Amino acid sequence: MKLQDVMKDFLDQTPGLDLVAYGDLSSGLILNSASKVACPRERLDLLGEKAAICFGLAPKGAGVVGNSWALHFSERETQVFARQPETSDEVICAVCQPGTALQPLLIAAIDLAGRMAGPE
Amino acid sequence: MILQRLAGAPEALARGNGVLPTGADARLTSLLAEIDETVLPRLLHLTAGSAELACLIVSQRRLIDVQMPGRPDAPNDSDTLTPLLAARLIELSQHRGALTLSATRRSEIPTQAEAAVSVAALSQALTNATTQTAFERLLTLADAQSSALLAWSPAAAQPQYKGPRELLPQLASFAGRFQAIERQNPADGRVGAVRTQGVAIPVSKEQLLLMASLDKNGFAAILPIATGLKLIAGWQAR
Repeated sequence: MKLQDVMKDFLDQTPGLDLVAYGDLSSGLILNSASKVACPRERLDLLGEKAAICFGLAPKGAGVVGNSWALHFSERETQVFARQPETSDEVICAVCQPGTALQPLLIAAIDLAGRMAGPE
Repeated sequence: MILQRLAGAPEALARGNGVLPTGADARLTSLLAEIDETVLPRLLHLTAGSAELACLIVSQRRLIDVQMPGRPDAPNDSDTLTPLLAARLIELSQHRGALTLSATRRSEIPTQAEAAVSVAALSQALTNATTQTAFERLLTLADAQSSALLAWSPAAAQPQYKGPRELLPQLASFAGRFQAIERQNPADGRVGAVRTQGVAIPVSKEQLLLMASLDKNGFAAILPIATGLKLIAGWQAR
């Protein structure tokens, strides 16, 4: 299945989700995305930057491994960032509506990140 | 729309059938739209079931008073009137249960000039009040459920901390990095978008770090992961 189709499926099957994107943390770039309404490039750029910032806040030091998730939120939306394995630079970004249950979304996003990182 | 309203019956509403939406923000938007399209003197009655919660006095697209049972009439002074009316509108918008709006002609003629608030001024006051309220509500929720919390504010000389002493350096370090990021990008890239924003990251298999800020106020808190995630969604859904 093509990357675009995988993300479109994820968008369609996940309640409360408005946008899903696949990006690279090292460059902060979003490489592909699917959304319910057209999303300007500038917003995708901000999303990529935000993912890098949020993972950058994670604890560092001896014995600490990278985080598999981080999220950024406001009153209007939540941006969920997930990666698998925890040290990967490949990230799934999911933007959901306010009030969306976050635990199932996090689990689904981490699972999607794992599938994206796996062999095609 | 305004011209249609001028020609309509006093009981006619500018928008819809009078049933207000259920969300607080949507209710405020509806009420502001109704005020903005009301030129002739009208009383807008806000009811829950058969009980009238409030009567909005509106004229020339401005709000003159929000009369509520047991509350004093609004002062005839624009400076104090605006935040008072905004606070009453917020309180009404948060009413649990269905709300309906109806209009009647205002037959009482004021004996002196009345202070009134434009929709633009109300919108600004509502934005200021709701963003501050939202942040305080988030802080209250986090404070009740966290094992450690560090809060900072321009009003306090020193950050306020509660929790085990050994967690303070870690929280202070996270808070410092978070504040540095917020200073670099205070409006999240959007002009005028000063609102509560936050991040959550796991700090162990069981706990997450929740940090949020509004302008120069902020906090960092440690919570169980499931609790923290539910707290964020619940706070947004309110």
